[in-house]
Amino acid sequence: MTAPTTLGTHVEVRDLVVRFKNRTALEGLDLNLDAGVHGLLGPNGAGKTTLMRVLGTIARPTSGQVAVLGHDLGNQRALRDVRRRLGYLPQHFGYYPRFTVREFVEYFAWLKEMPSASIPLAVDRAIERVGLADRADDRLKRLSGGMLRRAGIAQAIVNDPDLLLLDEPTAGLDPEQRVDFRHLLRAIGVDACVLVATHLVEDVAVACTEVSLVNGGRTVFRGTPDELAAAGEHAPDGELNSGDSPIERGYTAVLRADRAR
Amino acid sequence: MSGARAEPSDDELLRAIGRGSQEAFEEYYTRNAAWLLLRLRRRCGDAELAADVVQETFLAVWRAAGSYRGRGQAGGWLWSIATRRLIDAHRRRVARGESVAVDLDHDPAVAPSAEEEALAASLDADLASALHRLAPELRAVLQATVLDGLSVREAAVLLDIPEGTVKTRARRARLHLKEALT
Amino acid sequence: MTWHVARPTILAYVDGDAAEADAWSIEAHVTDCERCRTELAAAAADDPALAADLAASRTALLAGLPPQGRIRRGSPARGLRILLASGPAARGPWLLATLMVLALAIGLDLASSGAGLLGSTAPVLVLLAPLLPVLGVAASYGSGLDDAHEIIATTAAGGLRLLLIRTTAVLAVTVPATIAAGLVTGLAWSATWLVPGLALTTLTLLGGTVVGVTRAAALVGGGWALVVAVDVISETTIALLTGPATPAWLAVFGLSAAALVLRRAAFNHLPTSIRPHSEA
Repeated sequence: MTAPTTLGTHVEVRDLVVRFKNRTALEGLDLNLDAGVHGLLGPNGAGKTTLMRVLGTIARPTSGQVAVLGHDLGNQRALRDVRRRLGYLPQHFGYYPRFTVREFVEYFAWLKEMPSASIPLAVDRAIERVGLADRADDRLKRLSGGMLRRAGIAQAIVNDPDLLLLDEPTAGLDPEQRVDFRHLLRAIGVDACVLVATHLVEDVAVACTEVSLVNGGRTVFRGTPDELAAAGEHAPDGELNSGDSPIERGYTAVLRADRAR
Repeated sequence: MSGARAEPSDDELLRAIGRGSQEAFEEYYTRNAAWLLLRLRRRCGDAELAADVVQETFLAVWRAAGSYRGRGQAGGWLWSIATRRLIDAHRRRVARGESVAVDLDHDPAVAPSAEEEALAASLDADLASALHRLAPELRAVLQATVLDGLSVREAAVLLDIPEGTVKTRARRARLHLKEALT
Repeated sequence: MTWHVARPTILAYVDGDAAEADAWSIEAHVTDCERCRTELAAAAADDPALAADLAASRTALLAGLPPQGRIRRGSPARGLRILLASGPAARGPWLLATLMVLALAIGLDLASSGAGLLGSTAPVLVLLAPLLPVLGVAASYGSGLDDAHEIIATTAAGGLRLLLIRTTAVLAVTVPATIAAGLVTGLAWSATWLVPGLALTTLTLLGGTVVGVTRAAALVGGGWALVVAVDVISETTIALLTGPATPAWLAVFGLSAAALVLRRAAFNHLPTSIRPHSEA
């Protein structure tokens, strides 16, 4: 029943099906991820957020196998251990307006059950890594959208997660912050598995070592950003609106090929 | 105890820094920057990187001294900040595609015997010679995981080898030492 | 500490020619020995190249010292405080609602000089007080009311532990507040509101494992309101609200608390608005 997981495999998803009352979000999705920065691309409604919520241990699969950090997610005992090693930032996240950035990040450090003595320094380091050190004691309600997003990223990385799940993390960031953020992602991806769900194809091209394209609840492409770009070269051309950059053309070509099936 | 010492301890300095004393910070730097820099240099074999990590570490001390709650653990506290920063620096370098080959050959071939004797008080002479005969890559793993207190994952980043390799090398290093000591 | 590193060994280490075993010994020792750290610093000051590096670093550091943050020690008490700060007990609206309900009960009880509301003979405080912790629990936990619920649901302590901490905080506010209100109206201490209040709280938590805390609170609160309505309309104090019913309420409290312990795993995945439809 439970597939034995090999050491170093961060995410192992086999034939994952998630059904809601009136629709099917994921329909037999397979995905294997190791350390590195992985992009998760796909049109709206493709099932990206549902997949993130399953890997984040919030939503439960209707059927299929999901192993995260070597543990089957059906195992309630292992769940706590997995959650201590998770970092998660949803696309829309609520916050407590009266909390300062430091209190907000600290709050999640406690919820992740980090050792109490290590928390102040871990919080300081996380805030510094997202470039908010000078605003650490400002209340969240006084921050701009981009700063809030960075505070959200800080809480996600405060426990040095082995699996970091980020849903549309660059929303609200200005171009310079995006560049800093990509550097941070790549550094984290050296020894952790980072999964970035995004509709911004360009983010993936620059920051990710690998891309998975999801459509209709299944994985329809898996490869490097270069390979995705190459998929666009062989596509029948002639359509001007198929994308500005090679990787966007590849994205569109793969989606069209899938829809034509 | 050296009773004549009226100077504040590192613990007291850290508390003063926590209250915002720049004077205490300068004194703390004077006392602790040297050993930190030398130890970091031995870890990364890159003087520039070591200097950067020292800077970042002391900046963190300035910001976070108020959270120190130890008694006589100021050295370990400072080192734990420094190792996090060192590993972050390594991560950034690896992410930029730069090589971070750790220099394993900084060890002089002959051990001075006079010092070996003084050493016996804290480190057994047999252990010292066993350590000396250990292959550099095994010693590096032992150093990272035992002496520096890094997790397997952190040691893997620092030494630029897979986590599985860290585990097997640590096991082999312990076996070698055990054999040499019996 | 009685053993210290010999000076020649320190000098060799500073020069970079210490034997590997010596270096290990020094590094392990210096971490814990302030005296040898100071010795090492003195030896390093005599090495011109090293001293120059350290001085340069010091100058750069002092030139750019940022403002210090408001950082606090990481004690368990601090953790508790920060976990509570996000809960309803620290939020204005809930506190305000609690105080208003109590003020209303006091006002009505005083106006009727303890004769009860309308036809009921039970003091208004007895009718309303058990609802307060239920409202607090509802505000404590739930996808609709906790702003950061989506992230909390992925954390290790985000389930039963956080819920219990917040529930305890809610009780820590409502119980003393109700006692104070009782003192004002002359009811003073009475088990007739305390035990039903506790029982309704654990019932809400237990119901939360099935339908979610917010919905469970609505059901339990609604049930209590029905009892109160019957009591008021029937113009007699029904048995549930009197002292003799206390053992029954205690039993409800004990049983629901025990069932809650058995069902605690359910809090690992609280029912949320977007829930996979289970086919099995």
